[in-house]
Amino acid sequence: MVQQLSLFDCIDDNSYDLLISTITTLSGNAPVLFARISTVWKPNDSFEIDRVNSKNQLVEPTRIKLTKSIPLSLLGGHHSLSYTLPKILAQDKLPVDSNFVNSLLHESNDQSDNSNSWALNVSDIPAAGSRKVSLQSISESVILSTGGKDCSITTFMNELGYISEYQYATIGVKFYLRHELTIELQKIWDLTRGANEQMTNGGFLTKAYVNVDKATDIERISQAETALLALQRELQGYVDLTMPDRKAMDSRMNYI
Amino acid sequence: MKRSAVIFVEKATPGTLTEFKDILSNTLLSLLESWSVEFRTYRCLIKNLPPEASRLMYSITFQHHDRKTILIKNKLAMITTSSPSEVPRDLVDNVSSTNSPEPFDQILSSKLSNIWNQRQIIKGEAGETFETTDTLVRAVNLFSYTGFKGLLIELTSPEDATAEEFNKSVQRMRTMLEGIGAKDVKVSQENLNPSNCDYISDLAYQYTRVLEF
Repeated sequence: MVQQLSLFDCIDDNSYDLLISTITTLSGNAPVLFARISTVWKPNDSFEIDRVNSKNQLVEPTRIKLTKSIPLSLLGGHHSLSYTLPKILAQDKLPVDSNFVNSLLHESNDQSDNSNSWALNVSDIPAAGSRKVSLQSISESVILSTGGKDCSITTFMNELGYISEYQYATIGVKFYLRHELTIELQKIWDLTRGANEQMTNGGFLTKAYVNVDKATDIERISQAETALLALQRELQGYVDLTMPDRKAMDSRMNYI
Repeated sequence: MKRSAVIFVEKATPGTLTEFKDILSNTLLSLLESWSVEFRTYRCLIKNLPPEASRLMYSITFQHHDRKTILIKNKLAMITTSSPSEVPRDLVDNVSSTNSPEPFDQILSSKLSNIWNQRQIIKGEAGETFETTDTLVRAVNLFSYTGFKGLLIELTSPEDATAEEFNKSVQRMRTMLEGIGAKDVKVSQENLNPSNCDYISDLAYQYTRVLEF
């Protein structure tokens, strides 16, 4: 179970270029483009599911997120694959639409040449208490493919008791900094049920985070917090990184 | 194409493995790495499932096949891994939040334990691998909480073996087992999806076929 420490903010489209050059100078690294599609699943509403397991421990029904990368070749078109791409894409509908999402979700292994791999994760609500940065546990496994006759990722998720709830694409750039710090500037498009709508109109969601592989690694967690707070100070004036509301980061059912 | 078969000798004693190794030595080329396997059975806790729906799901973890865990339910499979080196590059670059993905069973037994209840776990540890003149033979004694379960043998053909050649090897293995008094054996060579054979999901399916109790 990975521990993710993070801070968030939003910036205007107009501040994007300046922030990119500032972080490039600060980190000594160029921005890296990324694109991914996230699909969120919830326990099937038509099933009666308890909030306890067989040992009578409380286990609240929780969402599962499956994420995979979007090949940049599908997005670039005639544009160059540089840090300006997210801004250019934001001017119009996304070249990948809900048909693309549906084919990923419903193609079985025998039909598809695409890689069928997904990262699966389940997040806890971030830790409570007076903190300066968000601290969230994330359980993550990797699905390499599905098998059997006409078995798509949806078929197997349904077998597990889950149904699809919503989907979105995240396209942006990230920087790798010292102390395993990562900063992502993201644009997000809602692709649920045929939608193709940018939810970050006029700006970018900015996320700075460090992942620590073991929850027991107190020393690394405290180093990560120090690194995040140092970054917060360094970027003051450009971006005001703050701790997100933990309730907004809760992926359990019945809470959002 | 690599083909596989799984043989389970339920009426065995822990000593049957030793006898099996003795008769195998005639065709033995070399001894290879040790291996282990874990076989878990889960039961679905959803109350209002249609009565005809199957409530069982199996997970088979192969330490010797890149730490893959395969879930099998209703002749459907999902192949997962907990090996950092097996995570596809594009996931690492665009998606992953961790360099060490968890075994899928860990997620089932924590986050999804209100839906899936682990019923039993059968383990084979410190298994041995024998390269013989015609097939790769893996053998291990299986144990559950309650004790010894039986002798399990996993057969893998060379890449270029035809179906007939492999059938012969499987038959030879059965004859050898009969020779040491292991007559009542379960064998599975079935494919999960005959129109699209996949070594690892077929192998996992064969485990479920011989170990379903």
